[in-house]
Amino acid sequence: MDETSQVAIELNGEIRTFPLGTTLATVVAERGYDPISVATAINGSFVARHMRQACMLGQGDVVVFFAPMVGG
Amino acid sequence: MDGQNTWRVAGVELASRFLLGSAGYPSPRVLMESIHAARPAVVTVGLKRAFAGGADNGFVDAIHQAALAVGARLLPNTAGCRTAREAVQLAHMARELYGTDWIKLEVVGDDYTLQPDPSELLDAARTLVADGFVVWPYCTDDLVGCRRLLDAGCPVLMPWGAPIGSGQGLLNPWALRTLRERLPDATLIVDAGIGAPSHAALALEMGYDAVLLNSAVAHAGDPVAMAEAFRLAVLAGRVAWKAGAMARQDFAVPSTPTGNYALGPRIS
Repeated sequence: MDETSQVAIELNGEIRTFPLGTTLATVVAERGYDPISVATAINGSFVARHMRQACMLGQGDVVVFFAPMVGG
Repeated sequence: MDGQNTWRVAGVELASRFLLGSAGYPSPRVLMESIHAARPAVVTVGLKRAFAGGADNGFVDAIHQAALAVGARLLPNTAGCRTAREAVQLAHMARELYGTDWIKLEVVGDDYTLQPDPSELLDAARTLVADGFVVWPYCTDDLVGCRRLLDAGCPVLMPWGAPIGSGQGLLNPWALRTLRERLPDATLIVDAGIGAPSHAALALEMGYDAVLLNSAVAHAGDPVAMAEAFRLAVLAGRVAWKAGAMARQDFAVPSTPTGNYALGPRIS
C-alpha cells in the first residue's frame, strides 16, 4: 500500500495511519468505543453521532473523543 | 410544606434550591450518599477527553443512579473552555452524551481566579440559545454583564460568590444584593465560592433562588454529613427570605418592654 492510499491522523494526541476513505465511525469502532459512550470532534468541531459514518477522515485531521465525567 | 416552594427553569419544575456538583469526592459510594443526603434539584457533570482503556472508576454510574433516585436532573458544564467556540463545541457534545439541552456555560478568562470571560461568555450564550440550549451561565456579579446575558436569552444567571473552589463565601454581598434588587424577575443562583452552610443560607436570605456548590461538600471531612447540613441551610435561608428579616437598626431597641419599671438611674 503506497503512502497516497493512507491518511495520517491524530487520535487524542497519538499519530495513526488509516486507509484512505476511513470514516469516523470506523475509527470509533476500531478504538473499541461503544458509539453512544463518546462524543467526537474533528479539528475542534463537533461531529454528531449520526454524521460519523459519512465523515471521511483527511490527512492531518485531529480527532478527539469525549466521555462523561464528574463535574462542578 | 417544606418552605422551599418549587421553582421553574425553562418550564421544568424543580423541587429543591440546592444544586450540587459531582467532582472531587473520595469514592463513588460517598458521592452517591452525598447526593442522597443533599436531595438536590440538579447535579452538575462534565466531559473529559476519552482515552482507550481509560475508566472513571464508577463515578459516572454513581451519578446516574443517585440522580435518578432523588429526582435530580443532570446539568453538564463546559469547564476548561477559554473561548466561545470551544464552549459551543463542548456544549454540543454534552447534549449528545447526556441527552439534555441544559448546559452550564463556563468560559474562563483568567487561570488564577478562574474568572469568567464576559465577552466570550456572552458570545457563547447567544450562539447556544440560538442552537436551542437552555443556558445556565457562570458569570461574575457585574450587573450590566448579567443584563446582557438575560437579553441573550439565558433563563437563569449564576454569579460567583467567590472564585471557584476557594470556599471564601459571598465576597461582595453588596454586588449580589444589587443584582437581586435590580433584576427582581431574574432567576439568580450563587455559583462558586461557597464554603460553609452559612454562606448558602445567606445567599437564600438575600433572595437568591438557589445555590450551586461542589467543593464545600466534596472536600468536607464528612461529605455526606455536610451535604445534609447544606440541605438544611438552604431550606433555612429560603424560609427566612419568605418570612422577611427584620430591618437593621443603628441603635439598640429593647426587646423586653420594661418601660417605667427600671429601678436604677436613667442612662443617657
